[in-house]
Amino acid sequence: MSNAAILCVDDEVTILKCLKEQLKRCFGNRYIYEVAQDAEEAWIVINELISEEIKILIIVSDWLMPGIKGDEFLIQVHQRFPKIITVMLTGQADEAAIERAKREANLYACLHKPWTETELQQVISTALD
Amino acid sequence: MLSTPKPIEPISSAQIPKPRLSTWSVLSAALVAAIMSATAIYQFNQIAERSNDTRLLLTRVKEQVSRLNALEWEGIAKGEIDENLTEELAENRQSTDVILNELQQIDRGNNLSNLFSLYTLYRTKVDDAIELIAQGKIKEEIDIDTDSIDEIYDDLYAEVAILEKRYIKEKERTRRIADFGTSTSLILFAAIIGSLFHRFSNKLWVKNQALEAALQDLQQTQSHLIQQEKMAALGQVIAGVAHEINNPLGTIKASADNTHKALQEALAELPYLHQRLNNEEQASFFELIQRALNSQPLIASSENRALKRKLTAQLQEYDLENARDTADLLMDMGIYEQIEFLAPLLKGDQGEWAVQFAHNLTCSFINNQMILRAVDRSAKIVFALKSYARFDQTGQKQRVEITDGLETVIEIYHNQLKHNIELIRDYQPIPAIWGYPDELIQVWTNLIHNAIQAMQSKGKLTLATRQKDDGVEVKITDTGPGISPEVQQKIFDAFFTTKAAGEGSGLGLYISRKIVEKHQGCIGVESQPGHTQFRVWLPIGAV
Repeated sequence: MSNAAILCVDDEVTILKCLKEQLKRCFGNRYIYEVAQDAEEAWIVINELISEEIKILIIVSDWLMPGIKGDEFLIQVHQRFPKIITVMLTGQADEAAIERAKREANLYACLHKPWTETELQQVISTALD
Repeated sequence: MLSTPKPIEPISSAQIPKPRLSTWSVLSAALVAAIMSATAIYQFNQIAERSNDTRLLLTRVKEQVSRLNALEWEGIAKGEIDENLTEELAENRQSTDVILNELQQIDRGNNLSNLFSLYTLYRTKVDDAIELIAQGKIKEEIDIDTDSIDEIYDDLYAEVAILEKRYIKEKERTRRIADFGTSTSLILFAAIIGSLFHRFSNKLWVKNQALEAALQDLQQTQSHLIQQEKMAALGQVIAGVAHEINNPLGTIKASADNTHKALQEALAELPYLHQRLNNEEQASFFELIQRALNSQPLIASSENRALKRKLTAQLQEYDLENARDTADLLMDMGIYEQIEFLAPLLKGDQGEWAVQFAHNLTCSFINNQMILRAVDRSAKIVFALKSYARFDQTGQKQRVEITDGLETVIEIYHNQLKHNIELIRDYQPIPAIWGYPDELIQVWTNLIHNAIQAMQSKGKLTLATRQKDDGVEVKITDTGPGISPEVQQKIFDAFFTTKAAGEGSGLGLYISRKIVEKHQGCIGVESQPGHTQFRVWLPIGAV
């Protein structure tokens, strides 16, 4: 059984649903796939996974979300878990926010909606190699 | 740089058709001419007056002389002059002298010298005769040449009569000249005043044209400003809109990919169905598919995660290799409770394969539904954008359904409204009004945008429509911190903003008020902490 997880954060349920399915089809049972609708929920999931002794490898986060925005959330994650790879998946992010995430959250990549499966697969695979 | 007023002159005069003479020179020339002609007319009138005076005096001279002559002749004929006569003669002579004196003073051209000399001659002759009579020298009396006195008197009388006629004529002539002068000056002044009036009205006309052009410019600028403000507001929401459109596009793309893969896998596995599953397992498998098609997929939430943990625990009892993944698949298919029907499948060694296979078969339905919803959503956004960005140039009023406009704006702001803002549509049936739909959309945009900002994207937004008087009332209420009375007073002023520099143009509410006024409606605000309400009333109006 896998004990490594990929977490997706987006305020749109459908995005989460198809993102998760896509990842599953790409990487199968190698990882656990978790989703959250905002930063607050993401922290709950992170804490749950940690308590289950599951290692979070990657967090893929949207930028424009209610409450804490994606860049801010990834920076917080990076401060607490510098080993987690951060990826942004966004329909619209201002350049300053991406720059900030690159600088302060060691952002690995920024994908733009609508993304392609290949893009997603490449980013995740290279990040995990 | 200092600019002298001189260079401005040619510019302004270039705009006006250039007159040959300046107005001021015409005016001063007219003034000089007026003074001159008035003086001339006055002088002519003076001459006429003098001629008249002279004529009157001459008439009196005529009377006086004839009376004198009569008295003298009386004395001469009697041959004696008594005291009475002497006195009378002296009196008459004196008054004659007075008149003659006056005449002498008036006479400027020595026209009367002949008269004076004739009178002097007559006087001498008569006085001599009277003297002789007074001394009683009757003899000498005879010597008095009565004929010559008569002759001189006749000459004198004739001279007076001629002069009288001449002065009457002269008076008439000068009067005519003065009258002619008066009429000519009147005509001349009428012409000057007419031309000045023409010139002034011409100037006014040119100025009026310029003003009209300026007004037109201003109106155009205003409509540009309204459009610019709208586009600026659009710019502010465009980030959200890009997000709004890219999200469904992402869903469509990923769902289509997922469906493709799911069908590929399912088709590849299909031949093994009968080999791998016995009848009981197949029954369980098809029930799983049936249930999956009738259920709604579940997605992350703390409750659902708890359900998933419970389901994982249940599945672990079946000794599955990847209980967690299988639980995840079942959750995605909307299966999380009453899983007893799955027992035959899960007990067998193909349980996980079967769940995966069922998932592949059913997920394309769910993906399809998601694609359809995403397409609807995108179409709605595009429609809203289209009605939002439309800029009607015709200036014609149209039938406007107020709620359509409100809904367009809600669609644009959907992204900002959907999470923490409770949207209440308190729509009562209202008639369509005559107005400018795109401009009204701008009013709703400003009011809704401000409300969302005021609530910092958290609170309750109420949109209400009512029929009121001969029109409709729209009330937009938010639960933001409210607007202070000082700010309320200035809130509809141009360039007034409480937002940080660069965030708001300060034109939003000003333009909103202008648009409402253009519809002969009114806009107002009342506010207290937690309750701010903007009211817009619009008349139903006509075309």
